[in-house]
Amino acid sequence: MTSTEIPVASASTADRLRLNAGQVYRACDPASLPFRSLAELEDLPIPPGQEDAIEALQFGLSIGHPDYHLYAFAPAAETSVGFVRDFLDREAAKRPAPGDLCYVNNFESPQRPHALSLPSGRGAQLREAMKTLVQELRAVLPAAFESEEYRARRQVLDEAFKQRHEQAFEALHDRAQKQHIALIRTPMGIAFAPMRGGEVVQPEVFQRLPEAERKKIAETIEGLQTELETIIRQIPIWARAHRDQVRTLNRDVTRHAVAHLMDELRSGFKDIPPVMVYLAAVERDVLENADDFLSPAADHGDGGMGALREIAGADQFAFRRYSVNLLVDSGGQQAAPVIYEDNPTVHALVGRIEHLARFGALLTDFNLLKPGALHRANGGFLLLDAVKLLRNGLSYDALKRALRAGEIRIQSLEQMLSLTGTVSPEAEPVSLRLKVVLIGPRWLYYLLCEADSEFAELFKVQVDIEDRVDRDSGNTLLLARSLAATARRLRVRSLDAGAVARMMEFAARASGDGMKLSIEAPLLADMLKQSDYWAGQASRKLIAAEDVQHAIDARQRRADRLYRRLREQVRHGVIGIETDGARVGQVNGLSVVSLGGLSFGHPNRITAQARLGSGRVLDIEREVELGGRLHSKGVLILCGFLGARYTRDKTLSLQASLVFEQSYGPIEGDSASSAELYALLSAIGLIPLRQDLAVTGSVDQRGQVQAIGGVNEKIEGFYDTCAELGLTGRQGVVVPAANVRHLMLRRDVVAAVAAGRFSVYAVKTVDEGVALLTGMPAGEADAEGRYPAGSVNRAVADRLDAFAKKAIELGRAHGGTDGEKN
Amino acid sequence: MAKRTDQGLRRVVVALDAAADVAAAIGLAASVARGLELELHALLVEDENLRRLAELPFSQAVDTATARRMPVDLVALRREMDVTAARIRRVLESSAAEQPLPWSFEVRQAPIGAEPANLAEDELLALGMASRPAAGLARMRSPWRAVAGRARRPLLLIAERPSAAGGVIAVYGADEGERREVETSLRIARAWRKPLTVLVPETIAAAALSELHARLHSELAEAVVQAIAAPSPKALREFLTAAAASLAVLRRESLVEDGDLESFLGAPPSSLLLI
Repeated sequence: MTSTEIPVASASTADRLRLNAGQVYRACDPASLPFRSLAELEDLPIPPGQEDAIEALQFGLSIGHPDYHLYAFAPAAETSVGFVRDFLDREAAKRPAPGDLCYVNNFESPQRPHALSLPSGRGAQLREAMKTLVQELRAVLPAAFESEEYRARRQVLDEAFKQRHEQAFEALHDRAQKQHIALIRTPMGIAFAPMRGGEVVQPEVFQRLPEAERKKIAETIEGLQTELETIIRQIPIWARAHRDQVRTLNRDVTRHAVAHLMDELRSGFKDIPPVMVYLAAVERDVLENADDFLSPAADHGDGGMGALREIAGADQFAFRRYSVNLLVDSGGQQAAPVIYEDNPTVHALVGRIEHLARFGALLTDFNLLKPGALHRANGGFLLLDAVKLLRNGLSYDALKRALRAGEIRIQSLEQMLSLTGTVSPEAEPVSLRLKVVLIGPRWLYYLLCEADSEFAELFKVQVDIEDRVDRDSGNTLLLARSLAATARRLRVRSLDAGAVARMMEFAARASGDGMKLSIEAPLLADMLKQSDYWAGQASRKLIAAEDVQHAIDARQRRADRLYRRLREQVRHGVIGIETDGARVGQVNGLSVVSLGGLSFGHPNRITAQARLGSGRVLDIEREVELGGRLHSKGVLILCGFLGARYTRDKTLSLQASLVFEQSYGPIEGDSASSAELYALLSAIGLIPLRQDLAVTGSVDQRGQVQAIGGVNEKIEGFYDTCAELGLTGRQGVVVPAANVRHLMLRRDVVAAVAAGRFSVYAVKTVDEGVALLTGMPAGEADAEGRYPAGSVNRAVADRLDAFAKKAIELGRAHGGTDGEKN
Repeated sequence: MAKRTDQGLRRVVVALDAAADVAAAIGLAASVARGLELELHALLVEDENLRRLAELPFSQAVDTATARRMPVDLVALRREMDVTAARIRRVLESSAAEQPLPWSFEVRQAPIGAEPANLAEDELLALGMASRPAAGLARMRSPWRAVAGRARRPLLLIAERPSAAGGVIAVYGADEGERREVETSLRIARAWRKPLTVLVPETIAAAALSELHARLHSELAEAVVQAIAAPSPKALREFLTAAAASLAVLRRESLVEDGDLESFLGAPPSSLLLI
């Protein structure tokens, strides 16, 4: 590779391909805008360009079938969430507020709390009514049980119970005494023994008694023991009978005391049959457990819940079973709910069961059931970020399960995973009726449809949200109205027409297409806020074009430290980039680096070497596994191009190598394939390439140059490098013609183009590009496929012919067969 | 210590059987012993009748919790009695140390219900009057009740749930014997730091009353004199029940006036010191 004089393409070719300033930047003329400032414009409730998305949303939200949930394709999640949420809010406002949802104790099976659905606002009413009931019962029942009447009746029962024991025992004692038998208390129990003179008979005296007498005594004692056994066996029966009598008494007293309270409570909920059923259960429980109101810590025989109260040790705990856990309170709401769950963990979605730690034990009951987003959104709309949903592995399955079953079931994680856990309530499931809108990238939708048949069955409505619109006067005005609404919402200064025009240009650049406008709300809102700041610094009442430009430049400056460091290294020759002269087998390619919010272009020196070989182009990047698949594909296309154009009927006896010099990271994409081809042709034909030009564009096997991404950044990157090393007026960038519509270059680059200090060339074919880079015509093949002398193609073809012939010679010399027949 | 009081008492002998509430009985006996500056002697009577029962051919007991018959085995009985003795000794040691006062412990085999033999005149016999559990809610009388009814000596009858937390009550009729009651109750109340109530008949002479007031207030600030119509056993029972006193110091004669001693001893409303 040698440096030579700069080859210059014919003036007509260069001029034909060179773009003027108007082609590299499509300005928005403030005079073309039908307003002087945004203050004159009305708000635009819906962003422009979303007609299809709105139609899909309306369809999905209106169709009644439960399996028609929505998936919104979101180019930018925040934009989409804002748009969809606004739409959902408007739809929700047309629909009624759903009812309240409560969990209450299941008195028959406390482990399985009941769900109660009530009309809006009635849940809180029930909760307060139950609270009041408990308070009143705590006052009324102790008073009733402390009354003289109750005490007297209770004393009668207790005395009768005691007397029953005593009478039975006394009778036994008397019978024993009459038969001269002593009743003796021993450590083993009660025993009987024959008496003489007030004392138990001595054993030796007993042995001396006649056999008949001994036998009689033994029989008597046996009879007394049997009688005692009978008494002892009767004791639990008498105790149960006594308890029943006391319970009946307590129920009578309780019923009398609570009747008017329950009647009053019931009268407020006669219109809600499930509540009436619940209140009947409450009354039964109060009647059965009046003792709790007298001694709160008493065990209730309700399994773990009794232990819960005892361990908790609080008076209030005894009455938790009468609490109403108001899970969803829609009182005061006028519309259906719209819930956006930003962190869709499984518990955030389907609710959770909380526990209280008491003395090292984890305890819970129905009062510790907490709602999830599905509960809160029930009867309305739930908005979720699909990526976040899938990041929370169990959440996706839990959501599908709920939607398929049409019910929400609160479960602990241990229950879901069938792990051993603490005892937790099995809450009655709640009927689910809502629309779920997932927002996520397009690829994820297709992936889920492919991988999960349930997903496709549940999310049948696709909502395609646009992030950019055509750049025409109509959409320009609509975007201006949208900006006006945003400015008012953000309480920032309004924009004058010049600032709006600059914002439109910014929106076009942000869309990556000079003929489109980005409608990404967060991006535009950020630019509004920053422009407003600079307008404030300049003490302006309205944001002007300078403020917008200031914001753009400042934003760039804040983020481009790495970019400046890179240019500095080019300037110092650490990174070898040449922007003048010409070299064989070397060309300036262009790549884009994206870091954080900043993307910038950067030239790369691409070199090629060619020699006799077996028809292989060696992609060094691929060999060292730095080249991605698309890059490798681009290189293989070059082989196809070379073979098709130059050695259609011969063996390609070439061994070439391609490399991105001083590149130490991965390379992906095929946007450098045209540059690689130019370097390869230069190396084969030994034709120097201009170093003052940089090249971007992919190429197909027929030599057509194709569009690439990041064209603006790439041009600006080479311009900055040239400016760093010194602008000569001959420098420029060769871009695909298909990318011309995307050009929205930086203002200084546009100025350089306008002044002829920098050029942008648009090429459709490799031949156009190679002519620019070599200053030689590419040359067209004649009818026999021969290229004219002095053309690039001729030089390349001749060299490849020479390689082929040499290969045949070498083959013969080594005793091989003929490589070619013709 | 071993000195005699002005009633000629040297020590309190608390007679015990294997009843469950020996701790409370020992506690009260120890408190009285301290109040009167006496020694405390615990006498555990192992029921002779139990040994005899165990040696009879049909010795069986019915378990009151399960209604199952269990053999009354002499070895098992001995083991139970040893355990009981060790338990009582620990309780005694602890109660005496708490007061503190000198103590001794003795185990004798004898029939329960007979007055312990060999008691000296200067020994105050303390007997637990609490009934014992039988089966269910039924209870058996204290085996010491008969002793209390028969004994003609100073007695400390310990009530069902004895405590030294309440006040002391005495009955005063201005004769010499009753003067001793007042002196004894005064000493106990002062040692216990509890109020003393002295019941006097409404008919008491003014001079005697004045003398009583002077005597009481010279010794104890918290002493009151209360007149009752007639200190009959019935009136005394009602007063003691209402006053929730810990100890009443009485002459035996004041209880037998109506021939009502047996019913009074059956369930005394408070512990009684009968002089």
